Amino acid sequence: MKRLILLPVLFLVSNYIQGQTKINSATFGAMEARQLGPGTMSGRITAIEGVISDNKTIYTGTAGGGIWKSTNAGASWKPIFDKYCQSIGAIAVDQTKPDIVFAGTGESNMRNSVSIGNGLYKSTDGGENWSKLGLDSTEHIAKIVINPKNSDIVYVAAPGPLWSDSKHRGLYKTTDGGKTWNKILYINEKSGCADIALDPQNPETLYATTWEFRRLPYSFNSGGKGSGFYKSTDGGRSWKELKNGLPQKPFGRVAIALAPSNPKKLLAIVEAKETGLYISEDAGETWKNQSSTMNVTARPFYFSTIVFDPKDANRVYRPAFSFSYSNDGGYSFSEASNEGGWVHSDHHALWINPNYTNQMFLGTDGGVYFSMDRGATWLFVQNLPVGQFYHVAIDNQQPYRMYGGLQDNGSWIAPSAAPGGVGNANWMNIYFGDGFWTQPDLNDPHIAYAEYQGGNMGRINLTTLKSVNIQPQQTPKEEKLRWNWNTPIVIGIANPKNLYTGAQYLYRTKDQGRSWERISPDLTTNDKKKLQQEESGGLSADNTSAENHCTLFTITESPFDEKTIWVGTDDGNLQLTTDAGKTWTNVAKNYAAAGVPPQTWVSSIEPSKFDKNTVYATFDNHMYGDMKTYIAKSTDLGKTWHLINSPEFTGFAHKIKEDNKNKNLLFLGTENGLFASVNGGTDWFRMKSNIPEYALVRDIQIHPTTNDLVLATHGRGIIVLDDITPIRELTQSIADSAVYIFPSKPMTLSMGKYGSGGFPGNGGWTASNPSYTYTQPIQYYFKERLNSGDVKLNIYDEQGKLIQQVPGTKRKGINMVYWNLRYTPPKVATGGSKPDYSGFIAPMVMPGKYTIKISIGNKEYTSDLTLIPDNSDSSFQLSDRKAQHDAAMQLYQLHEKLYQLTTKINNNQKRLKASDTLMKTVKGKKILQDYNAALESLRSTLLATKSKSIFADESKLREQISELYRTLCTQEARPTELQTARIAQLQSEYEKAQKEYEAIDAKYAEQAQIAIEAEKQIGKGSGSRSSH
Amino acid sequence: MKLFKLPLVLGILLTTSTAFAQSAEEVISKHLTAIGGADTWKKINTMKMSGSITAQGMEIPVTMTTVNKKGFRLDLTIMDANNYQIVTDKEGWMFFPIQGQQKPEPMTADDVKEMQDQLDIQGELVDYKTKGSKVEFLGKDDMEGTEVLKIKLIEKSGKEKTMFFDAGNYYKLKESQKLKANGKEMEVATTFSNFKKLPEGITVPFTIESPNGPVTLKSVEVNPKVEDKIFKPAL
Repeated sequence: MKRLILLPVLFLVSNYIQGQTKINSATFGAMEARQLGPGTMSGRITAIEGVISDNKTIYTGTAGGGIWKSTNAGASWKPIFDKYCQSIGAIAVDQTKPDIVFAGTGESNMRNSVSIGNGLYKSTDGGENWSKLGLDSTEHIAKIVINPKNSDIVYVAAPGPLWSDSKHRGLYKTTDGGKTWNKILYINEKSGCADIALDPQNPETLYATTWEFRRLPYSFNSGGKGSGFYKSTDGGRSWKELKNGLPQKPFGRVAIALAPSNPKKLLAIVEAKETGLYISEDAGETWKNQSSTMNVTARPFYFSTIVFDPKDANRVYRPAFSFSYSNDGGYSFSEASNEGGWVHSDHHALWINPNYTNQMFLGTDGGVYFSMDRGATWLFVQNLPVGQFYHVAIDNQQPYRMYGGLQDNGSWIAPSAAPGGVGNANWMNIYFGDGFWTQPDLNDPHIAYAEYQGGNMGRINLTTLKSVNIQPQQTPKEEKLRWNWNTPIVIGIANPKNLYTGAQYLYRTKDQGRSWERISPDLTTNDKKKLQQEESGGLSADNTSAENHCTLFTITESPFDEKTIWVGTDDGNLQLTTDAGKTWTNVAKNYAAAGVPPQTWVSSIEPSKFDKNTVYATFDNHMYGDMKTYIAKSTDLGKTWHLINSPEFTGFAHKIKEDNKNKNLLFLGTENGLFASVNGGTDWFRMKSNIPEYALVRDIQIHPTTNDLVLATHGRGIIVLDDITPIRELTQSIADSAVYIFPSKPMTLSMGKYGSGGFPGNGGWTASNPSYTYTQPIQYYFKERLNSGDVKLNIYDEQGKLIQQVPGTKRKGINMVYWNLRYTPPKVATGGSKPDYSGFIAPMVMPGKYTIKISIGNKEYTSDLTLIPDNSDSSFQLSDRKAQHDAAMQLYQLHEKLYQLTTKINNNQKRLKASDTLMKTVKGKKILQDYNAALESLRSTLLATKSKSIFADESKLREQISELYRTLCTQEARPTELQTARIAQLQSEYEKAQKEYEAIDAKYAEQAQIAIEAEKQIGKGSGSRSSH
Repeated sequence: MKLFKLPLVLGILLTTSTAFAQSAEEVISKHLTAIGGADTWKKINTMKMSGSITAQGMEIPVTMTTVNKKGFRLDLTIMDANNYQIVTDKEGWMFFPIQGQQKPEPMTADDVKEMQDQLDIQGELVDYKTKGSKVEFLGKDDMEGTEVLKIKLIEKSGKEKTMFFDAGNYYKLKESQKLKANGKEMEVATTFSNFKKLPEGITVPFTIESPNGPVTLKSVEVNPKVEDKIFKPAL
């Protein structure tokens, strides 16, 4: 029978010998990335919606970090959109059936760095599962409104594509819950629908605004003939334009609000030549202009939120630069005091609980805030790790530090590991403004370089956080310097003493920015048509350096030679020098020949570490409406190029990274995902491994010693995939084997590099430490998930003694199983008032050679494992470890001896008790009872037998052994003299007890046996006696 | 404004992709066939599963005894001491000396309700319609690299479970549900592997992994004699 059961395993194993196995993310699924966040600066929030019926379920949509759900009013959050587009424009909850949720992808705060959506999604189970409803090409969705009286009717306002003309914009309507959609308001290919409001009492009455807008890489326009303000009273079948009292057209973006408690009352912020706030008291028929504060009229393309209190039509909120409110229906506004603490500026979303309108959630460029007093004071939600990094850099400290700058959130540093894990408190803010490149000084760990928008850069003392501005200045020999929004600041690879930056010229410093040398002419196209940023913005001028153009965008020094430098620009040039800047060659024409469009941003350049003539580059053409993923490779220093392509790719390309050790391993970060290739770029797969599948991956680093893959995401903070060695080592032939056991590398024996501290964290977001700071996994590979049979790892010491058994996992691909490097716990005396937890703890083993026998179904594989001493702790040498191990093992054995002794006593007592009930003679009874009493008296000295309370227990021999045993098992130190002496004392107490047991045994055992035998004889001899 | 007078002709019609290749009913029927067939399962009235939980070398013997619709009992022997949990159609008890309990204590009504699923020895998928449950096909998914078919089961009580079936052999590889305790929801997932066919014709997983650790079964007895008294608490 047993044989029959095992047959399927054999079949499984033999069945998969033919054909090539695809290596993909599932192959490495056991490797789970750590999302480091942090939550301390968070990121841009675009939508917040609550469930009215329960007062505590909140959905938060983010600019690049998907959707997060809280079911406890913000105390904890869970990402619920990790398999889909991460840029969220709008969320709507069907309040009549709150498990129905709509999510529109593609944020509509149309700044330069805004991401792009891919349609509308619906969930019918509160966000657990989603299906796509369509509107795929709208790219940006501003609002979703559900008819409160018939939730099958839904409206979606889609401004549509930002970077190109498109028919896929306007106001869409469904009457069947999203199965089919009609476009019910459409102007032209340049103008979409920016906002919509619906009269809740009379839901056929709708107000909608249209918006003409467009970005180019070097300018922005908000406003035009296509912008307008419309009303429908028949659910969108016909529309009339609202004009009466509104300003002269053209309009720009118009934001509207309707008072739920008085639906005839509306507010509109109308972007026009004179932007203003307009009020209507008659359902939009006539409007009155109100003089408005700066905060009400500021940046209408970016701040498009105005909200009525759900119950009080006089109370109005304007979240914008800051938070203003009105108590007179919008006639006048005041600024909230923020006396409870700082609130991040730039607000985009506000949710007010209609049941209790003092309670509100505010979404800003730096996370979510919560108020219980109508916005007078705010509490920051510290556990939403949705920061928008542009770049990440790493250093050589132990643990290494991560450096990065974020959209509207400055520049930060954090260690990759810390006691208790990496939490909010481990992150240090070192520079301000919009953060981009942040670079370590690899020669001086106290110094870092960071910048804010427009090329403003500083050298920062990391101890004091005092900074010195080091931005290169214009001389009479140069034109006005042009700095990209995201100006490169880069340290050299061949020579880390070099620090580079670039305007339209390349600059290099060798003395930490105290002096700069310009080492190039203008490397851009210097196209004057693209240099009119002062006129950018459209109706409202908006020149924040975000549209600066014809600038350097990426700089890379060759790993082979500091004189070879690659420079990419935002206007389509890729320039190479091999003589440290004396002469430059533009290779743009060469990759254009391979199919990269002209003017394309050079988003990253990756010279190979394995061949000095090989270089990879990524190109980003999305600002011309082309979202394709462009990667090119040259093996002749840029003379000829070929495109690397894959059907897997989604999103425009930000960064390509070649592995440090395996030249065939490549990683690609795009606006919509992380991709990997293990065969030099021929085949690619999307990396999942706890990384959101469409994460905005802006930058990638690989640490030279820990082999960690470090990602800068624009919406999910820093993500680290620890130790990518398994990806490096997985060859096609391994992938093709049914089972493969990876040879184990020597493992360092240690209880881990870090302690845990005290109480868990300071709140906020905490990422665990890399598992390699504790121990290394034992790894094996399965071509298919193991369905039949079990996996067990048996670990033997050098003498061949089985010391541990660890259950194995059975997943397809690489499996990683951890042995805690300890023995099996001892058997601990039982029968006390409480269990003794020493039965769960074992001493660590000693350095040496071990054998692992891995049983998989009915097969067994053998692998060797060497444990080496940890030399990093000078206070805990090998001899100390030996002393500790031996001391712990003495107590281990003492526990086991005591177990034997108490088990003997327990068994004897059980036997005596059973006999006692049968015993009829008084003399016999007395012998048994005396025997039992003597045993009980001994037993009560061996372990706690009386229960008191949780914190007041007896301490007997077992407890005394345990106290010291647990101490010695859980720390790394040579035992103190007193500890060693204590062991001897406990041993002698045990021996005393053992002797006492023998004495009791000698005194009673024989008598008791005789009495029991006699009783048996009596019972056999005469049945009648029992009737006396 | 003639643009807006043009009726729905201009409208763009978009349709969702509701046409999945398989229906929930089909997946469940294939699953039941794969584990021996509903009729075989219906012949089972009692079951006793014995095995152990392994945690870093410690083996904790485990026994699970079920009488269909009447009682379920879980026994764990930890450091020579017996710990147990009992659920019947009416009540539930637990006794975990390992957690410092001195005597058996009744389970809360919520916990009893959550655990009463265990009383359905055939599993919730056999005759799910008669049991008043609804099912929904959630499409294909990837579970640890294996292609799975996802089904949501909504029981009469409103309790929802998501089940993941191997798209190749239709074994149930995973089940996740939200447990309610103290008004909070907690997602608990259980995975199944090490499938074996028993002489009685049913196929059962011999390894069951839950947040409490993996249980590996050594034996599964079908229709053994079970005494009623084991469903009453006793020290």
